Amino acid sequence: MTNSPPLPGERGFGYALVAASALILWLAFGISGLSSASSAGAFPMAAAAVMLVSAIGIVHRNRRRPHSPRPPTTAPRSVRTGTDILPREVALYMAILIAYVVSLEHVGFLASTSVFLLVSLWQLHRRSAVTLLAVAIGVLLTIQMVFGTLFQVQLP
Amino acid sequence: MPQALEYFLMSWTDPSLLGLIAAGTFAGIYIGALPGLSVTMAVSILISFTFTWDVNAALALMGGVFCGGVYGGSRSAILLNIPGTPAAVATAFDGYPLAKLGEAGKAIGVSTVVSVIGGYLGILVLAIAAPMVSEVALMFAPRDYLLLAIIGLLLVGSLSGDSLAKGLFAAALGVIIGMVGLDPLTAEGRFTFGLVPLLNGISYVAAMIGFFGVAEALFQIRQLGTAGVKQDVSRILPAWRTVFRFLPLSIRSSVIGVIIGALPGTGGDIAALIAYDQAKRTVTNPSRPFGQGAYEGLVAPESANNAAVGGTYIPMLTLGIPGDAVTAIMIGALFIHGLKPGPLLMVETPHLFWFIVGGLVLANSFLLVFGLTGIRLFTRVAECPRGILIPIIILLSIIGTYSIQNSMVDVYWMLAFGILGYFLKVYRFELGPIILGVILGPLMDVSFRRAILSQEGSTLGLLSDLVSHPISAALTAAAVLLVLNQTPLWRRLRRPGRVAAL
Amino acid sequence: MRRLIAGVVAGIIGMATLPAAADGFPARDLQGIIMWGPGGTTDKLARVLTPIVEEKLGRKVVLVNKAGGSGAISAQYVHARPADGYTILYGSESPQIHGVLGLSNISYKDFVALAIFADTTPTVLVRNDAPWKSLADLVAAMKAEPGKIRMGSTGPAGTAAIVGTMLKMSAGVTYADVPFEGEGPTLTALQGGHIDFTPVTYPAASELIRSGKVRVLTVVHPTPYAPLPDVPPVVADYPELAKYLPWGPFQGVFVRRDTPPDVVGALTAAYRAAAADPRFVGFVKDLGATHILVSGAEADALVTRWQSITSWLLDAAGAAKVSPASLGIPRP
Repeated sequence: MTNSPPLPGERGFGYALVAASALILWLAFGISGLSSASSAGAFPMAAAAVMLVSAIGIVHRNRRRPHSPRPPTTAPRSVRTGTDILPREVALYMAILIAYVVSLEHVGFLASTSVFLLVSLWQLHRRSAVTLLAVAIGVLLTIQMVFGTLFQVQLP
Repeated sequence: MPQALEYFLMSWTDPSLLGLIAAGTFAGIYIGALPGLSVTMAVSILISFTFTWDVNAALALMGGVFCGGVYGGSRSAILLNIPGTPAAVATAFDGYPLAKLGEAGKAIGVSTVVSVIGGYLGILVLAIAAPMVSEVALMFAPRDYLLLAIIGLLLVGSLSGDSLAKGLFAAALGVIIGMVGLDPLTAEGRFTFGLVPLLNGISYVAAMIGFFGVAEALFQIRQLGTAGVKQDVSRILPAWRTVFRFLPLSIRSSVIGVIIGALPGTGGDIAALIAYDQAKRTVTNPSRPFGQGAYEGLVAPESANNAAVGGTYIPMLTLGIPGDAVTAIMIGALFIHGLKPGPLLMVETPHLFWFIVGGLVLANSFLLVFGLTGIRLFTRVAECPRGILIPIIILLSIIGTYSIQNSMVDVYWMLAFGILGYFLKVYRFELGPIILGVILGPLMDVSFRRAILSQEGSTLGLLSDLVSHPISAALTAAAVLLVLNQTPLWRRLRRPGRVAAL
Repeated sequence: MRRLIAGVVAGIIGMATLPAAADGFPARDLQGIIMWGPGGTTDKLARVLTPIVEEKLGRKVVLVNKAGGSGAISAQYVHARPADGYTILYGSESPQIHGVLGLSNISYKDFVALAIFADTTPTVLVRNDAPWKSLADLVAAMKAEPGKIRMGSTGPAGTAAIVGTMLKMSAGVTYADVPFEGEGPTLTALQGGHIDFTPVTYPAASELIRSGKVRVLTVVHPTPYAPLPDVPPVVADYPELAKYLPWGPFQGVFVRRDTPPDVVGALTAAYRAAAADPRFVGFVKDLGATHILVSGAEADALVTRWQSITSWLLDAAGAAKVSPASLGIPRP
């Protein structure tokens, strides 16, 4: 597997990891500098250093792998057949998810959750409207019962 | 002794106590199975609920919920790849691949039986050796917790899949996630940018739900077209032969579980991870390779986390020290009911000890019954069309995360981890090491610094301590052996030996 | 059932709208944030008091432990929640010195006390097999090997650190400070011999003392302490400490100071009634704490006196990072 050509965007992802690790290391250094082994920043710095070194290792490995226009045969089918790493429906669903979580705080639990359930069921399942509605209501009621009533979770 | 027996059987002969334990165990299974609903939460709700009850009734109900909840976490780990409780993280490593292979029914059957075996063994140790075990548990110094965390983190080596660099990166990322917030020892902010919502850190349950549940759900959108996996439900009850085959591993893992459970600073989650590591290293020919649906990878953590239940009661009943968060709440319950949890509890109220032991045996027996019935129904979950299952998983993940501490910040973190986890999965990173880092990183950090501070800040002093105390020396030796065992040199040394042995 | 559903619906509406008027308060369940981890004094008191409060309020108070940061985490958290009275801090004294320690600028001046219901007395403990029979023995040992004797503490603002500072100042000793997450873990470490001594409040240690597993060297109290009549008070060795005593951690419940007055009124009534309940009073005594009951302005006076003594003590010992004068804390 290690000698298979990298997936689309894999090299870029590696560089992003190196950059993120370096940033975290710098932040960790800012906690208490190099004062002592028992300081609050010592352990985060060690962990960030491990991140940085292993991220560099990952990039190095990627560079050594042959670059081929054809995706590897060992990758999941969707990766092999599509050139993209983020299929359209996954990206769309991520957007729906973020919109839902943001609206939770502002619109309230019941309203935003009903909309989210209907939209995502329609997006992913595509059956008759009655089925979708039945599933959405069933799920919503169950969750309200178990979390809201039984466990007194104050849903947002 | 006859009196002890009388107390032991108290809950067996009183129909109302019997009913409470049954109800508690049953409810516990479902509380454990739902991510975000934790046993800790349920037991703290029960404290006020049982405020006016007799203490025996309250303890019976709580004990049932505890046993059921620890076991219940395995259900969602196997069926959905979301560990219902942190103690079920290791269960997902091999349990979920089994569900993907259509063997969810058998997986649940096996995990039920070994959970009960682990549970009984934990109680056995509690019943016959509690004072001795608690003496040993007290001897664990900060440096020993450090070593335990290191041994747990070495599991990275076996969880990393084909690239150790990716595994190390993931584990270190997990450690960093665990470090966010005010440092518990000095109250300095770490990665908080002066923002109040970050001061409290990132709940590791949020990380767990994000990296396992949401990342997996997003990943499955890629395979929407394929149908749910048809589950084989013809052989749910494991054959005696199967049980006997796994019995030695189950016993070994239970011993690990009960000891780690009895340590005041560690609980079932760490016990299960270390037991999984142990299984991966000692089982030479697993039913399938580990990580791809090995039953051994299910047996070890499930035995260990249930054995840890008995273990956590040991310091609670002998010393009044909580073995984990759940027993901490139970100590509160004992206080509320006018008892005095402390070193004199067993001297002044000996009946309580035997009553609890009896109740736990009963709860585990109910676990066997409830665990093995209704599996067919449960496996339907894995057969559900993905289009319906994915929104439900996501919704449960969000509400579950929110309910940990009624915090939207946790939900944002969880979502970010879900999306990051998706990309990491696509680029073939294993996500297990991240959770390992989140769980063990903070323990390692705090224990390391505490160990150094006990030595006036001298690292050299710490190093000499590591070899001069018996427990530390044994743990150090274990850690060193585990590291060596992963190096090519060791494998080369070992190979001729194994051939000769064959 | 109907009440439950109504409650849930009201809760959802309540979350969506801004803090509502107090009539009908509380309209949903409350959240109680416990400053320390499970097993400590604050935790035990919270868990006994809360069911009685729930009887008075007719609502649940869901308890959550948010230990760490010497109590700063919980104080910051509650302070960051809306000032609607739905998040209640079950706290002890430590936010009062977060200022001088440079940990946080949030103190009880930002909160109003619904009730302060317990006062505690620190004790200095060693294991029962330790060679030191008295405070003088321990001090001598610390002087013989400066920095070698390990003291278990609960962080830079905990009881242990303050009592340690008193010893540092009056006896001129030094020790290795090993911090833990709370008094429970500290006592566990003491029993295991991983620390040599620890100053903890009497309630946290009472069962251990009763079992004889630990020895009390002194009580930090101006006179012999009633539950431990045979133990010499610290002023016997160091009379100059008398001006600070009685000094000890207090326990109470707080909400943000800018909470609407009628909400504060409703909560104060409920918490005061619960804290005066014989079940709770008996429990406080069983625990080994002293039962008191002050709220509002009276409580402000108590916490301010405590802050002034402790902050200047830390300043005199050189342990204060921020001068109490610059924070406007008056001298005791």
